[in-house]
Amino acid sequence: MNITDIKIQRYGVWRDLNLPVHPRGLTVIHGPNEAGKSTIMRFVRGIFHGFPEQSRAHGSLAQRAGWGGTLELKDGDETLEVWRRIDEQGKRQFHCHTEQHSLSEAEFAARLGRVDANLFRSIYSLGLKELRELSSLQSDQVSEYIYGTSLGLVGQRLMNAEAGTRKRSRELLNPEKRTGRLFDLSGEYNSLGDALARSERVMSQYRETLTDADRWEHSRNDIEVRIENLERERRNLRYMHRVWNPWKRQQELQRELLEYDELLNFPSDGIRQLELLDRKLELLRQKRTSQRNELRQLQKRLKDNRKHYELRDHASGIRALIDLRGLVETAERHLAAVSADATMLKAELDEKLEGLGQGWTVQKLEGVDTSPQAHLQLVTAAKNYQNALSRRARHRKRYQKLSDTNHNRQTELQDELKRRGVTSLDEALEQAQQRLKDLEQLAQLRIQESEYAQRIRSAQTMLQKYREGAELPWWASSMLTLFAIAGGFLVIAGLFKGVRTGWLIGLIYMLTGIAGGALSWALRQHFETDDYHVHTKLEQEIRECERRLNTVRDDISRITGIPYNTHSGIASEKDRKASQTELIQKATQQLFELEELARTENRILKTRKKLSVQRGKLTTYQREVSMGRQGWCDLLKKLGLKETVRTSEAFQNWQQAVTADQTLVKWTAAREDVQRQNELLAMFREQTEQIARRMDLEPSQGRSLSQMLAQWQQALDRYEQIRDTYQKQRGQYRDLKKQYELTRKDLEFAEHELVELLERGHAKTPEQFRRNAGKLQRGRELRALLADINDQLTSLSREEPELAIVEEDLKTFNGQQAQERIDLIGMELEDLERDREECSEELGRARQRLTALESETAAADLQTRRERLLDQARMTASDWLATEAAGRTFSDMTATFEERFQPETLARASHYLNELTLGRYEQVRTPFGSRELIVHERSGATRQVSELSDGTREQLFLAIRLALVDMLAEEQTVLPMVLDDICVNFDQQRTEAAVSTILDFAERRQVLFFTCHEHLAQMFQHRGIEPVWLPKHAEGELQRLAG
Amino acid sequence: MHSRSRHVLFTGNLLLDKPLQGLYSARADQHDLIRDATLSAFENLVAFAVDQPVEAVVFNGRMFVAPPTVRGAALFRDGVETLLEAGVSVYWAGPQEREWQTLSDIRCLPHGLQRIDENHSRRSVINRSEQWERSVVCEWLDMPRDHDHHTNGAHNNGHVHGQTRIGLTRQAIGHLTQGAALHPERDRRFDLIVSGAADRSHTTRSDKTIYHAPGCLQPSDGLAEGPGQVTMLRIDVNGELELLREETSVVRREQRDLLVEPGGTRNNLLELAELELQELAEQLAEGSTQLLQLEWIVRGPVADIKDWSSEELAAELTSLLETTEQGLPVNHHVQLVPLMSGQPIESDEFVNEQLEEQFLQHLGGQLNGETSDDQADRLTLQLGADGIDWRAVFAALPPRETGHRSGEWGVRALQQYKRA
Repeated sequence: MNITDIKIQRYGVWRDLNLPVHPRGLTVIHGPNEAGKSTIMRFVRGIFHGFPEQSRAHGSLAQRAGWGGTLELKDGDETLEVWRRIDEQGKRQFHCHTEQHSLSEAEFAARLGRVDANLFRSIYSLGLKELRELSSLQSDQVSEYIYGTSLGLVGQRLMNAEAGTRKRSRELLNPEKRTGRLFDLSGEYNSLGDALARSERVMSQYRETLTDADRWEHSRNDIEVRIENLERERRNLRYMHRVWNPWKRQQELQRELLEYDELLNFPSDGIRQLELLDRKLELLRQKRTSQRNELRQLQKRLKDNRKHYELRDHASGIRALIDLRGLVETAERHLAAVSADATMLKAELDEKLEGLGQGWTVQKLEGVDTSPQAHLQLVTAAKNYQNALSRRARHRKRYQKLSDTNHNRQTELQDELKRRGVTSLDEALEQAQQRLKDLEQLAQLRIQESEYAQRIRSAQTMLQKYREGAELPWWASSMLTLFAIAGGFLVIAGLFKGVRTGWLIGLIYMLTGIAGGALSWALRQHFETDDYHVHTKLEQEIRECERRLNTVRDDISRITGIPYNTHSGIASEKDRKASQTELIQKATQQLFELEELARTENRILKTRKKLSVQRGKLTTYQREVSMGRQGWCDLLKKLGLKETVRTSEAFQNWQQAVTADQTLVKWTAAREDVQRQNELLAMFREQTEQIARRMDLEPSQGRSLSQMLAQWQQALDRYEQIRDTYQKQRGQYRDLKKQYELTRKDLEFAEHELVELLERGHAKTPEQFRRNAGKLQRGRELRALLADINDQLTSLSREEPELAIVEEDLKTFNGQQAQERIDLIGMELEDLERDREECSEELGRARQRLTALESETAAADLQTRRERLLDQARMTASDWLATEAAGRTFSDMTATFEERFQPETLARASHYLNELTLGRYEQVRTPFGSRELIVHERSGATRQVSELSDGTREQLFLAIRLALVDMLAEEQTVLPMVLDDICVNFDQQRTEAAVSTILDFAERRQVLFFTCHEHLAQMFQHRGIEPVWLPKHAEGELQRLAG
Repeated sequence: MHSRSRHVLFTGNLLLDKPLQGLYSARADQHDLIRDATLSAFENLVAFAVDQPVEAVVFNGRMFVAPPTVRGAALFRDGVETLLEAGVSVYWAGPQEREWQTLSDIRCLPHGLQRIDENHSRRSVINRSEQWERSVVCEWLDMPRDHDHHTNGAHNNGHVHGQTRIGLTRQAIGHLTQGAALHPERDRRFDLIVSGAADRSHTTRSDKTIYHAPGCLQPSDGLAEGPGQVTMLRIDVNGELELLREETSVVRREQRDLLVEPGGTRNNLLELAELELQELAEQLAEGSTQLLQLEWIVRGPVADIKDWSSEELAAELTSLLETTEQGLPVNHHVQLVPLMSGQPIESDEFVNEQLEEQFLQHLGGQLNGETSDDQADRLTLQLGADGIDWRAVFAALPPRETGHRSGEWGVRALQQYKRA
């Protein structure tokens, strides 16, 4: 459709403008600014698609006068004249006609195809503003051509698969948001690593504990060595003690023996020295006695304290038992609680057994299978049984309902039939049908009645008429009679003449008479016989009609049920019709009701058949119920439950049995727990009592273990106090002992001095010293004694063959010191024993810790978890790699697809763009599935639209629009293109290129090119296109009011 | 049965405490079993040695992968003590000094355990006696060059009558072509050379020498198939050697290939899998396996398996074949491998029906030009260097499996849209 002429009556600045344009090719229109070029473009738009509303706002003068104009168009071989106008009231007018006929606005719009106002404005009719609008290329209508929104199934699949794969990849790793499964796994791994680092202290703990154990073991070994040494020493001391007395006696005796030989050397001042020494010794002895007393007191006190010290041997045991006190108390509390629970559970069990009914015992309850399998069996059986029951009940209900319904229906039917007095419904139906037929015939009968009545009346009338007017006139009858008589006379005369005159004359007479008679008979016969026949016939007809009328009336009376009488017979036709309609209605109603009843009867019969089938099914269901019941009862019996057909009761029994069984289990468990706790406590009690017996402690005597242990705790506390006191006293004792030793040494020194003195006086004691003189006899006795002592010493030496005692030891041996030393060793041994026990305990604890650490699995657990996590990481990383690879593959495929399936529009646009940009930009394309445009430079670089300069952008959009116009033209949408100064941003070279491109384009399409630039118009002029000059060059031809 | 024979057990890597890898479908209730798998394998070894009985046990492999843990060390100590108490001589060939020292420090090195190493390079594991006129000598082969020259020379006398010589090494012997692993001149002296290097059992023979790697007691590598085992050497009085294997692993990984015929259904596949599992279960009936990890590689024409997924198949197999008939738990892991039909496809012709095949074709080209190093670098950069060693993770990923996974993913992605 091309424009051939633009006629503006009034639009914008234009009045009565007549602008002829080239029907094909390019029309260049030049005019300065405000010459009205854009107005012409808007006018063209307005003629094609209507003037916009806001047009009324332009110019009050024009608004008052109204706008309008005409476009002459050429559509193929057809010429159209399109006229539009908006009058001063704003009323729109449209007129379009061809040479042959007029077109409505809708028909004209249909000729424009799919190009609506927006599309026309964005593609065909462009100013610089429209050209720059990218959004106009984003509308669905246009983008379909540019971006190929319909990618096809393959394209959509590729695009969605790529998107899905990318999405999956981002779910695994989204570096921007730092989310995804791989991040989670990395975080979990770090957390596990921290936890593992914490758990790896096991080795150091193990080493420390091992060191502790070694230390304790060494300590114990040292203590044991020390104990062994002390015991050996004590044994030696004890042996020495046994040996020392005889040996001492031996020495004394020997010394006494020596006295006798040495008395000669008795010192001169021995007595005085002896006295001095005696005094000194006395003082020292008093002091020693005092100290010894103190020592004894202390020793006594220590001994007293030792009475309580008997706890020492069992302290560790008691402590261990006391350590278990909490456990014992817990066990006792638990025992009490469990005993109470057991009692309660037993009572509850008894109650539940009672609840289960008579004859239920624990043994019977134990026989009940309450396993989940049994429950499942029970539920299944109950379900089956209940299903059978419900099926039967449902079916029975359905059967009963059907039966009741059928019964009711039958009763109603019988009542209805009785009410209607019908014995046989078929007959009644037949009768009703017959009656309806009769009633349908009633009208005919009425007609027949009327017809017959009419015929009777007609016949009667005719008969009457015949009776009145059909007889011969009297003269005719007289003539005929005369003729008959004359004929008779002539016959007689003929006979006479024949006889008398001749036969011929007689014959003539006779024939004449016969002729006269015959004529008279014939005429009479002729007239009178017809009347008779007619009369007879009419009478017969009347009779026949009367008979038929009677028959019809009988039928009518039978049908209507109203005996015929004259009154009814003369009822008006209207009444009769009403009555007849009423009767037909009644008969129809009756027939309908009877048919309804017949259907009801049929339904009843069908229902009976159905009921018969249902009875069969009911028997089957009943059988299923019996089988189900049997199975149910068997199962109940098998499970040990009371047989009952009520599942609810059975389940109640089951539930009670389960509850009771649970209670039984709990009770049994509680009972066993009580037994275990009792055994545990009894064992513990036995241990404590053993210890108590060994320690002579007060036995429990009915007290609880915890009380006893509490008492022991007190005793142990007392023991601790006493031990502290004992240790303190032992310290005092040791100090005193040192003082005592000093005193003893002083005393020994003094004694030694005394002994030396006495030795010098050949005496051992002062008295001896004094009596030495007279004791020679004593020597003999002493020798005997010495022999005995020697024997004793020999015997003692045999007892300890391994022990070698040198005399020096015996000389330095002090019995008292030795005894004290033995006591001290005993005490030290006791201490060492205690220390050894402590060491053993510590060693045991350390070994327990070692065992615990050896079975510590926390680190291994964490390592295993970490390895599982690494497995997940491997899987996830593999998935990520897989999705990445798949995504890249899809990208490659979509790129190939994109290259292969670029929209045709863009291919054409690339051609135009190449021309418009003088080959700088070779291709315009759109990425797969998006609405973006990318331009490829000749150098291979790509640019987005936003990266292009204004001029290049406009050239790109112009190229796309030219391509779109081509595409639409191929779809048979051919419209002129109106361009209004679109090259203002083009440089000189590209303007020339644009002129060439437009000229090429205009060879195929009509283009109206408006410009205000003279050089541009001249460019076209130089190429053979004579512009239309507005208004300066064309003012003689054109009239305008403004501009 | 072999009254005139003696037995010596040789182990490869024990790897006590090393957690098992690659059990992708392990369940939570199998945690303890998996955690203790290597320890259980060692216990199986001890129990076997005591039951047989054997004369000696020679550990020739890595005992731990990391510094010994208390638990592993204690179990090792208990096991060795059990063996010693049962009269079995126990030798540890080539222990790492640090390991040995740690075990010694924490008293987990029983006194009867003897080293075979540079300092004790020759041990007579079975001595000659009146009843047994043959000695069995183990020698450490991985000696320093100068040490080997001076010390080994003393014993470098070739075969000795009435003596079986066994060489112990940590070097791999799996590839005869790799000359570095074999020294034919040296090895000729030995009747048997046992290597503790390989994780898998391997035996080969060169001239008169048998080369044998017992393999791991419990393979911990997620990709290692088959059982972990210990090798029992039976030595006849005449010096005849026989290598017998005893399974010790408790967790076993097996890989099975299933091929979906064109037009095959999922039911066909499940039936095939069931048959495979039955066959495998019969093989495992007498072994020590307590958990079976089955890796199914399901190959099939893409047209037939494009609606399947590995996860669904694994779930289906797990629901159908959770245990073997003998009650052995089975974990299933499935990898679908969509195969191309082989029909020629134009790479730039996009046909809806052939889109999956086109994808696989493109993917093949894509994968051929891929390296995972860049991916690992990128991942390490994005996820941070501390934590998981992504380089190691990527290095452990078999490229082929990743390719299969990609194929399955892509086909599934295409199918998802088609279904939608």
